[in-house]
Amino acid sequence: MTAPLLAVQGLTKHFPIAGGQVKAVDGVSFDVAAGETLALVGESGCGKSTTGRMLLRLTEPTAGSIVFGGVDLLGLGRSDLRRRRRELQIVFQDPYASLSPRNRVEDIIAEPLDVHGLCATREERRNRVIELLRLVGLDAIHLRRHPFEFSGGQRQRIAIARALAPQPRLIVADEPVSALDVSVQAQVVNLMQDLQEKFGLAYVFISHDLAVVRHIAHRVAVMYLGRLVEIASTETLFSAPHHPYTQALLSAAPVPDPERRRSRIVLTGDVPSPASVPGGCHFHPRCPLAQPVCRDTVPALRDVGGGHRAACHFAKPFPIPI
Amino acid sequence: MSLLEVNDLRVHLFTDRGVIKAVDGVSFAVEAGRSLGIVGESGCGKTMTALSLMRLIPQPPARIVSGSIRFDGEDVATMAPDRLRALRGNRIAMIYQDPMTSLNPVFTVGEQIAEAVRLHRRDGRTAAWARAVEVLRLVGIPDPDRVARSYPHQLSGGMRQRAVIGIALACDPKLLIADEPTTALDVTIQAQILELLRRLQGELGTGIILITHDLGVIADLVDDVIVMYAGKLVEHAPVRQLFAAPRHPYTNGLLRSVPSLETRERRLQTIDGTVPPAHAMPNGCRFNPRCTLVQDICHAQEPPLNDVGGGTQAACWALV
Repeated sequence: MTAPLLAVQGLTKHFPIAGGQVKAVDGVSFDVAAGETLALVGESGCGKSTTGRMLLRLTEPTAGSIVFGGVDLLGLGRSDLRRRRRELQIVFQDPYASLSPRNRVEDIIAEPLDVHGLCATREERRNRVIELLRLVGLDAIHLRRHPFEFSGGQRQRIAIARALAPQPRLIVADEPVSALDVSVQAQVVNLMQDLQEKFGLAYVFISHDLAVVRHIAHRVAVMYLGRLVEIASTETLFSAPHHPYTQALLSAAPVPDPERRRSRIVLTGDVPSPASVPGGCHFHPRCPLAQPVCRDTVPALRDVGGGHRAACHFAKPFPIPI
Repeated sequence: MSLLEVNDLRVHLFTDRGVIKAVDGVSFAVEAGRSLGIVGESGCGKTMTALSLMRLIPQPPARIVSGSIRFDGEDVATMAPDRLRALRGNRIAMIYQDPMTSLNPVFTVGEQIAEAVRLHRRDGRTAAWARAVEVLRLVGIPDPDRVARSYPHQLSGGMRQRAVIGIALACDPKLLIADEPTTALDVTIQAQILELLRRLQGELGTGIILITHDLGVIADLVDDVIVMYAGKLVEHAPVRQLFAAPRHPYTNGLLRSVPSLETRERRLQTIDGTVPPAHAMPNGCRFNPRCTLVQDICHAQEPPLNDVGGGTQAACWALV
């Protein structure tokens, strides 16, 4: 088996706060193969965005390793890291905040080309930007415009063009379609899939929207309060989720079909504050299957068959009884 | 007689760049104990419609230029200010998207609920506080005495939204307007809030207007739906009918662009283009630049809302 493009081991981020620390990400491990989409899903505060930012070292990990293309990014100095980042780009959620309002589209998209010295002449730079604009469904007439002249969907296309500019192998996309209206969201999702096919891109796709994830991801990793609770191929995760949290999450998602108003697994209580997480299994105070062992012992992420892993003492492929 | 009857409502925004027809001839009704969903994308006029129902639109630039809003037999559109004050938060209540900004950070949750009660019911302090605790229990807060004494920042997002719903329910409103009530919440919390709204509709007979861009939420909760596009009502249907047989090409496109949780298609359907800017609306049908069924007449004349069978009304020349 060939080595994965990205191998993350024991990734951890603790933020110090008054009187303790927030374990935002607590020992997360996963692989991403070249050309693959891995989705990170979970609710607010589960650590999915922090994980995404750590992959580029935009947030410095507390511990763990991130091996990308055979090199551990955490061992690199500033200039080596910058060179490596050419192959590792990110697209953010809010296209209104992630593009500098005073720059023109040409300079926004060309910035990674300039940083990495990828274009020798102004002409080459412009041609490359025009090529990128066309790739994302925009046009040369947009070169001289500013971000405010574009709609949300178009801005997200510009952000994607910028990420594509240095020909990366992996793009971390943090809620890239969450701020968009559904009809526009579909356009951007299709664009991301087309680009993946064309360039063999890998995505780490961070989202809370399970339907979008079901559509775009090859594999899905579910996070809860800083830990990975389940990881499996998309088909497996959606058809036979093993972890009770995943089961509840899937059950809670509203389906656009009034014939199927479902009796849901409605979890009681809220996600606890990451500053005071429960001991043992983080999910035990809300879990309908909880036993004494769940309060004391952290369940290991164990294989439940065919590379499908779940972190639950009682993981089983049936939805929990309602 | 319906609880609420909106007839040919028109809300225009008078701006430097001209008049924007934010809500352009919208009619609908809500019965007691029933729920109506208003769905559409950003800028379609759904929030402006909701705000008009209690005359909460920003005025200027906005103004209700014509139409009537009959609630319980009275016309809100022409109501005197003191009657309006007696109506708002009492017989019609509203909950907003962001529970953090709709609560006052320097008062406890209980004080904020009691304030609404005292304003409308002339109850004493003790009675108003008791009512506050009672509604917190009603909205499913496990420890209402403690939560009543808490400040908003001490509560989680789901708890805050329950408190906001509690304020809205404090005076037993006949109509509850919920503008994206679950959009800021996580999906497991959203499920709890939707259950709560469903229970309130059933147990208290409250009429509900639910405004959302989320078709899943619409399918889950409401009885009837109106779909808005660029200020116009384009389709009005019972919820099952709308999802089973959408008639307007915009509704159809909207439903098809949502990825499914069950099946996986290679590509998502999309609606080409984007909503035109408010000051540059096309002539005729406003959807015509994005429509696959477009004909000559669509550029010339606005389509009227017609009965197209199955209890559905749609505004489309291709269906006439």
